[in-house]
Amino acid sequence: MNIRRPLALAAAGIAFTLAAAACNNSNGETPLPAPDTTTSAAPTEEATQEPTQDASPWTEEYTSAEIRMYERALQRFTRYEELAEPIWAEGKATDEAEKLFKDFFFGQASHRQFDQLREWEQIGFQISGTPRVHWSKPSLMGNSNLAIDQCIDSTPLQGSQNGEERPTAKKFLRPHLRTISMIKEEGQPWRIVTVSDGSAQGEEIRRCKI
Amino acid sequence: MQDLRTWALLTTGLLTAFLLVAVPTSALAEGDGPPDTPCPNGQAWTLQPGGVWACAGSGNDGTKPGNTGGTGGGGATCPSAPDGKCTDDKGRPWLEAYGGPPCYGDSAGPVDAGYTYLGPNGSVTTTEPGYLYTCVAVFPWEFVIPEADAPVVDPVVLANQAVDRLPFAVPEINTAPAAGGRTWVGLETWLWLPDGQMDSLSLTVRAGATSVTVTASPTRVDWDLTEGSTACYSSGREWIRGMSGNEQTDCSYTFSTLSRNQPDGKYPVTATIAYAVTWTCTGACTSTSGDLPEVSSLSSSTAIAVEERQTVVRRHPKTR
Repeated sequence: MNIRRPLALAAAGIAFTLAAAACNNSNGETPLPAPDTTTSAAPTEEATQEPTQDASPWTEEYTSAEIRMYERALQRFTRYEELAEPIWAEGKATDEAEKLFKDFFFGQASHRQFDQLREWEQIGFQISGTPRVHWSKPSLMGNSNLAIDQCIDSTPLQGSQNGEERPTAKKFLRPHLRTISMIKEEGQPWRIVTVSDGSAQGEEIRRCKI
Repeated sequence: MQDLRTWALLTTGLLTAFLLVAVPTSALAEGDGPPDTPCPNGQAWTLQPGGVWACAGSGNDGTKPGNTGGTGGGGATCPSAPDGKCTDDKGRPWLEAYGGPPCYGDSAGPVDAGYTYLGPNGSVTTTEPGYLYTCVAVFPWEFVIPEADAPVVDPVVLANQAVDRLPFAVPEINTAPAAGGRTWVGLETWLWLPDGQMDSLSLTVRAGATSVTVTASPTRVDWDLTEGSTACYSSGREWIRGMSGNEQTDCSYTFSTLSRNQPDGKYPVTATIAYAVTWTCTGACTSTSGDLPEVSSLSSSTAIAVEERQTVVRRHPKTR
């Protein structure tokens, strides 16, 4: 009996299996672009919302003093994110963590950060990495407060819970807006009041263009 | 026999390949929703800041309230407060752990270190900057909350509180022909409000380090003339005695029926001003600006009789 046809079919089946395996990571999800690639994350799958903001030039709208204010506030937030990353990656509500939140957050917002970390410790949850920032610009400029819009994606974030990997919702892997509101009172450094990225209850995720 | 064995092996291989493709290697779902696998111990999939799913809590729709931080966020509930609300409907924050029973605090604003106030046991001088509060409903004395413990108030609540305190105009109705008097079927009746009644209104309300300014801008006047209604996008134009018949207005109404069947033989006329309301927040703001739903002023009323003009026809005798 000629077995060439069955062998060909088997080979095709095996090849298809291997191809399918290559297209899925261990979670069964499509692999994400590596953080250092320059692949555009232009949203093609989601048809629910058009990006409402882009990185159009904004510096002409503000005075040089306002731009300096914005740059210092942004620097302060970026510094917080760098220092906080290992804390959220460890997921332990330590004294060091509490101090960091008090240094960088305004009033009770710092307590809520610490409460969040305590809850993560209780449920064994951690997140390592920080979001990839595509662009930043001010969205509100007051005398002692401002808001910063950033177009980010969560591809660098790695969540885990009690040793098991946790997935990121797909819509957060695509460019979306994060708004950071900050306050600077006299004699104090810039402090964070809120950070909104669309993940809180009742919040809508806002798309942005790269 | 060997062929049968070969067929069996190949078929098994194909079936295995099919199963490997058809059945996901993990039960975790793709897409925006939570994973398919259930959480243990009665927990539920909850979206964390950054968009990462975790098993937490006691079951909700998968989102956490009150994101207030970078890679972390906090809940915005106050378990000891009435209904767990951290801000009451007057925009007052729920205050705890300052040395007295918890309450919703009225804010008098920021104070510097060295500020002296009347506490429960006499005068107190602050050693660091903070925010001065009173809990009038509980006790009359003051207390200062250090900046590090300053509550962050929902600006929308403050904005609504400010709207309640805005001095909205009560429309002063003017018509020509004059209200209280009469107009006629088929005659354009001018409608207007005096100058100043369509000015924007603004008010700032503060709670602790959060300051919200609302601005209410009039957008139209809704006129209800009983027989019908009209919306005018200005205060109208005053009719002044002596104006020529060619003068025009952008706010008027022309009656088509008599008012004699109405109570008192007159049509009630009511005017209401509609306002668009926006707010901005300065200081410690959970959000920086927004809109509130349209607000209407109180309405005012008058009445107008609508009659029919009598036409007199005189027959001129022919001259011979």
